[in-house]
Amino acid sequence: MRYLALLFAVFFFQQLFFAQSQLLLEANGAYNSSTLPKKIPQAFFYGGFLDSSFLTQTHQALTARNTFGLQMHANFQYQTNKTLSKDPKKLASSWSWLFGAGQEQYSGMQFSKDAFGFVFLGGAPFVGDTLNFSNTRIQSISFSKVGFGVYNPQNQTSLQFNLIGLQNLIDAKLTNTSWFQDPVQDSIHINITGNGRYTTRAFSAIGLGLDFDYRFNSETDSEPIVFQLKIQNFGFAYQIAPLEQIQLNGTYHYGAFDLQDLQQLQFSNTLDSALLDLGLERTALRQWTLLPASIQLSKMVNQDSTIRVQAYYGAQFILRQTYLPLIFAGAHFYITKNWQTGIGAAYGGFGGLRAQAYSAFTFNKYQILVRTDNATLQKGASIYLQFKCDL
Amino acid sequence: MKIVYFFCFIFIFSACKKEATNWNSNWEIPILKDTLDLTNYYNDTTLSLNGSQIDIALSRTLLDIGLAELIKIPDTTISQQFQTVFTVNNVTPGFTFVNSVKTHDLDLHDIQLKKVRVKSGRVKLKVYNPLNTDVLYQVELPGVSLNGQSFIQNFTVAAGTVQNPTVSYETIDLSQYEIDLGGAQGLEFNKLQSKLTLKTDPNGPIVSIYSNQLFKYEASFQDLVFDYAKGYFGSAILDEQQTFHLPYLDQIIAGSLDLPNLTMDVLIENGFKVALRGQLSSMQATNTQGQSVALQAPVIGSNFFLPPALGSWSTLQPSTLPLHFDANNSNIENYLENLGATQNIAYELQVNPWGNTAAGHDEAFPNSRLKVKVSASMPLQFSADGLTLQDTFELDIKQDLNKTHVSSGAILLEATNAFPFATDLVLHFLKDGQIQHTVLADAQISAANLGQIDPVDGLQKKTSKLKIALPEAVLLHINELDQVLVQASFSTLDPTTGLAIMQEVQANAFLAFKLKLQLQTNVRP
Repeated sequence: MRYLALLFAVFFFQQLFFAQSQLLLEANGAYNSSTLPKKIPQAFFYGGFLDSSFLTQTHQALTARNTFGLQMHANFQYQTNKTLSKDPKKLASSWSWLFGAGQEQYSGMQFSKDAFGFVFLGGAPFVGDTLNFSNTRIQSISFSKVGFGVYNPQNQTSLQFNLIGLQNLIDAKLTNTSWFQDPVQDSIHINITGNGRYTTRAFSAIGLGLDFDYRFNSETDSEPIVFQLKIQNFGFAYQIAPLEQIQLNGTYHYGAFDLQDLQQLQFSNTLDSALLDLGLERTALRQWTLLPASIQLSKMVNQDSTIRVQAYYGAQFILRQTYLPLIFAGAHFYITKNWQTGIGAAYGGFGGLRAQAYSAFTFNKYQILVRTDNATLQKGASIYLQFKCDL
Repeated sequence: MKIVYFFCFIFIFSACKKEATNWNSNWEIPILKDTLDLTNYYNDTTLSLNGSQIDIALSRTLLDIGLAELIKIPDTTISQQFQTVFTVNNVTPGFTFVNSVKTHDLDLHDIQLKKVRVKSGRVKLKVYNPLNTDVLYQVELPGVSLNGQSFIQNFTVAAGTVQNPTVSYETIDLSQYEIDLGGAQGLEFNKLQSKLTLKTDPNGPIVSIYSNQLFKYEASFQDLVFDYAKGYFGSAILDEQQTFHLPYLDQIIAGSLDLPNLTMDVLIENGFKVALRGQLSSMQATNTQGQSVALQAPVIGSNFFLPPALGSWSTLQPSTLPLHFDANNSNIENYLENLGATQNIAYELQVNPWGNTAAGHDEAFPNSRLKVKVSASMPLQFSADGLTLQDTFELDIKQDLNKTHVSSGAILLEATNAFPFATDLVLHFLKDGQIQHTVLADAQISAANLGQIDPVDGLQKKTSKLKIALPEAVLLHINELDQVLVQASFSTLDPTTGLAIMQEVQANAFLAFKLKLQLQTNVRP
């Protein structure tokens, strides 16, 4: 509530002292998977029971390597009309100040079919099979940012420097890991190589980041084509409070006990022995963390144009191993001056091929954009909201 | 109206409260894998292999006592002292002023020992010097010798005073020492001589010895154990009543066991050269149902006598007395089939029942033992009809039903049985000693006679797979349950008639089993 009051305070302040400034609010929430039906992530978001037959069907439909990811962000940007220089002869006079803040969250994971089966179905269905968990990876990071920068009202190019505060971080991977339960010998063989780092302590790391939105034109016979190079969250954060790092490298063999051993069994000793065999090591680690920078190059649509159909396309990368390059393309339709819409398709990121759709509603001083990158809601869901207001 | 708004608010937000994310996963955990057989009992005086069958070849020594247990010597302290009647002045250095022998009587009650050899033990010597110069003490025990050398111990005790005499200690191991307790003439008993010699320091000053100066030594014999003794060992009666519990039998709660004709022999050996009287006053077995059976036989309650052993040292020949129990002279079969977990035995032993008739020539050697041995031999066969053993195990499993927990499960047992009995399993889950839940196996461990002969080992065996389901109710209340009671019921049934029959145990019979825990886990991340 305090933040809302602050926002309105800023709004009225600028109404009194500035003119032709712009307020930009945007929020995004999306999750997607290459193979998982959305019922599974929805169960984690909204709760509920996942029945075994559904999980078995899901498991059978998985490929050897699967991805799932979740992205959320909420950003606020205030673009002032206060130029860097009042001298129109200077280049700085065409640039104005801007301020912004936001919250970012990125979670991605890659997992094998066997890993899914082990977690969701248990070990019993796979007795006698070797389960391979190799190349399972989980990456999750969330951080806050606040910063300032400049923008060019003519070509909408902007540059914003942010101070980053890390909220939490998880980065874990299994490189060479397997599980085999021998039904004849009544034993379990675990082979594991992996490591993980995590912190859940707020502001355990601070850093600097850069948001860059660069627009450039490509002249054509009819009208210019505008391209956008958009880089967000390019930067690093350094741990001022150390991460906890866990490393595992070893093999463990569990066998059924004989009567004498069972009578003398102490579970804690057995667990300690297992962890020793698996080479468990815990260390505290200070490190630089590369933020999940997003780099997008796209052909934009001209919303001021009255051409009925325009094309848009582009590609996006995020500097994370769990995110595949995303490509997208679609058609933009000019319906009326106040309502423009579009449909398209996207492939990559955390999932496969999926449909995009959006609508933009433009009024005198503000514009509302609603977009989804997963219109059919097959293996995920996505919603993007943008509110732009000329003040 | 406000209250309506309040309840509307609560309703709306409670409707948004989500059910926990959860799913079920299934696990199968191997817990136990072992083979029970009788290998450890072969050729160890319990069982023996006889062709394709096993014989009980039981041989146990129930009592085995030696001289140390028969004659126990209390710790004894002897002392000898010297005090002048009048003052002796100008005592020159190196002057010997005491050289006397004293005879001590040992209090051994009615035991009259003439000679013993110490197996272990020690003597602790303590001497006091009140003179104002060093004094050389020589303590000699003339009857105590090792390899023909008398026990002599010399001390040089520093100068002291009457008020604060200097005290010197020495502890000497007496192992292998021979002690002649016959006194000066060798005709007495329980007599121990000591000789004290005192001499002033040859390099010391001239001193005076006053009448108030007490020169003393003490010899404390501690923890003496003999391995040879000669004399009269007394005629004390060893009257004992012992109660002991047999393992496993106290876990039998129902059923019956029928054994074949059994003979049992008891052999009593007397390795002491002394006459012995004994009596097995009573033997009584009480089972877990409180039923008692007393062993009845002519020898029960009657005195038996054993003459002294013959020979000596390595030629010692114990005298023996065999006692025989069989169906004709006793109720030994009923006694054993009662499966008495609590055994109560009363007996008497008395040496020299007629007094000192050997004129003090009782004798015991290092290899002299008084033994009671029991032996039995029969084929290992029996008939069991619902013979039920039970045991209780502590249960301490806690789980939070709002977190990941086990929602249902089962115990899977695969058993290969080469024994002639079938086994039914029942589990009772208890809270404060009260049965809350009872679960049964869905099948029994079948007896070997229902199976085939395995050409590899020639054993008839049967493999059974059974499942003991752990219902949700048990796992829901597992936090409250504190014990699990396992009951196993054994029967040797005729496959055709269903009646209990006498069955032999095959040679090399075994019971191999694998136990797994099958769990359904409700995962709540």
